[in-house]
Amino acid sequence: MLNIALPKGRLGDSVYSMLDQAGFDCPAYNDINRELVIENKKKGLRYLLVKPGDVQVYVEHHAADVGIVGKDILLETEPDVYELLDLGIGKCRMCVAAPRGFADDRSSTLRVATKYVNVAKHYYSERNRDMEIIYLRGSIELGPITGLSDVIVDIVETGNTLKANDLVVIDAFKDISARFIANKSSFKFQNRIISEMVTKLGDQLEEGK
Amino acid sequence: MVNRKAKLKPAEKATLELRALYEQFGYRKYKMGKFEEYGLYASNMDFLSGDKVLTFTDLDGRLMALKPDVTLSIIKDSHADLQSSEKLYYIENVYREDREGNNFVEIEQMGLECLGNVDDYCITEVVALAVKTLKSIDKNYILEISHMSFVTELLKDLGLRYDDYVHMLNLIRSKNAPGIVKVARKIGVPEERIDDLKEIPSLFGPVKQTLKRARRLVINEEMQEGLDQLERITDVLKAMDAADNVQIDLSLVNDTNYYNGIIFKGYFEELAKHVLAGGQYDKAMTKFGRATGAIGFGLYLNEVSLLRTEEEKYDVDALMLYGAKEQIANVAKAITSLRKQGMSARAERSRPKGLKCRKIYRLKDGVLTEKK
Repeated sequence: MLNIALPKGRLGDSVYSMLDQAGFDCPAYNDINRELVIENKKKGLRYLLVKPGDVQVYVEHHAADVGIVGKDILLETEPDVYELLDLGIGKCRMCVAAPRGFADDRSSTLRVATKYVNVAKHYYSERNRDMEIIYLRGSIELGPITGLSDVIVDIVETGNTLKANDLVVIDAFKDISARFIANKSSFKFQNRIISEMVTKLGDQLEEGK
Repeated sequence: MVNRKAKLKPAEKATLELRALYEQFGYRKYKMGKFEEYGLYASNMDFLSGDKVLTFTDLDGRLMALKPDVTLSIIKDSHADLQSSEKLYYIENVYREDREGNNFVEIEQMGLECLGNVDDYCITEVVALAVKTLKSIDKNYILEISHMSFVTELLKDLGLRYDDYVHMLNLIRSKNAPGIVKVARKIGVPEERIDDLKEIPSLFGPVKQTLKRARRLVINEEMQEGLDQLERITDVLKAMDAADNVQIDLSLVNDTNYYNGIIFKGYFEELAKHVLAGGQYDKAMTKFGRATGAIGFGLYLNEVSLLRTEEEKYDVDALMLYGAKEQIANVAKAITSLRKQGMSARAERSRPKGLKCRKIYRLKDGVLTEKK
């Protein structure tokens, strides 16, 4: 049995249709209600529907053999897994954003609001910038508006939310998209099916280009 | 009926069996102190699997650490030279960071090291012992072997900055072929070399086949020799009854400042993470001013203990209850008679909470009756 951790929501739906097309279907997916586990016994597949930010946890701990997760979450949590494919969907960019007209005052500590604590720390330590993290779970854009922080570090898809809140991107430093990951042990013991999955998904990506 | 034996956990069983195995090959048990001066780790951070060390100030003011690693202490204390080698094994606790829990944890580790004149036989023996180690614990294992020079030589003349080099090694470790291509293009690696680099993640599998595929990527003598050595060693494993489930994975690469030559990792099908890791660390020896080679491996007993075992239905076969006025000679006699029947038996005045027992007996005035 191959366990696949799929993020709940829009990204999960797009990924499922790719897997479906590749022959890793699970008919129960289409009329899913509140189930968290669905199976295709004949093909030996079990889909686990998990919170997007938890996919890598399931995979690293072997509760799932493979999974699909955003690169932003991989950068933040650095799990010990194989990252086998860039699925090219769920695209966005990891950015530093600030109110229009913001000028960085290097004589004082920079206050950074983010939910990507490790990513932000890493970004500023590379630039040797003294900073303070303000951890938020969502609506990060409120940080600079309320004076809670000077800038934010967050993922930006269309930029509409930033615009609506009068923020601009200062530096877009990382391309983000959905990645196909595998547990290192599973990759060795269930290599045939995982490799087949990677090849077929890879072929779809080639065709789509 | 035979009296039941103590039920050993997988990690306990492993420790017993493996000590015998290592001693059969002439390895000696090595016991060391719990603490080490912090300086040893501060100057060798890259050798450790994490960068957190549990420190304290000793009564004389020295900054000490609870060992996060055993190998560094062994290297430091070693008297091995090219004429006189040391073969030893250890069972020690190490203290490391648990990233998810954000705290320190105690990890029981068993390991084996060979220091001195490390030749091909010596390497083969250690790899064979790693295979036998895995096999004795669970038959669903895989040992993957790699050679450090394969990746390091491929990256050597690309003129990578240190940051890019480390980044590239991480991409290779996570088999991230798309990432390798992207970064290599950004750095300006020639296209034909990018084709080679992106092959590395897929160079894994059965020994002969994988080595054959890998040979197409050879660009210099060091790489050639690395693959030849892998072939020589894996060829001999069979003679040592240790060739089963051995695979090559050339995307396996350790820290380049300490390791060189043959490296390997062991996995169990049931477990999430590798349970065994090891390799040649001549470079680490050089750092400590030792002009000799070394190879060894560690087995993480805390991971091994996660292997599923049959759950015990009962804590004890027979629970025997006796009253306050019972003569203790009668209690002793009754317990002995129950044990003679092959049961484990526990004498109590009243039934302990949560104790699972198969049968309950009552002892009154020396007469034993089973309670239905």
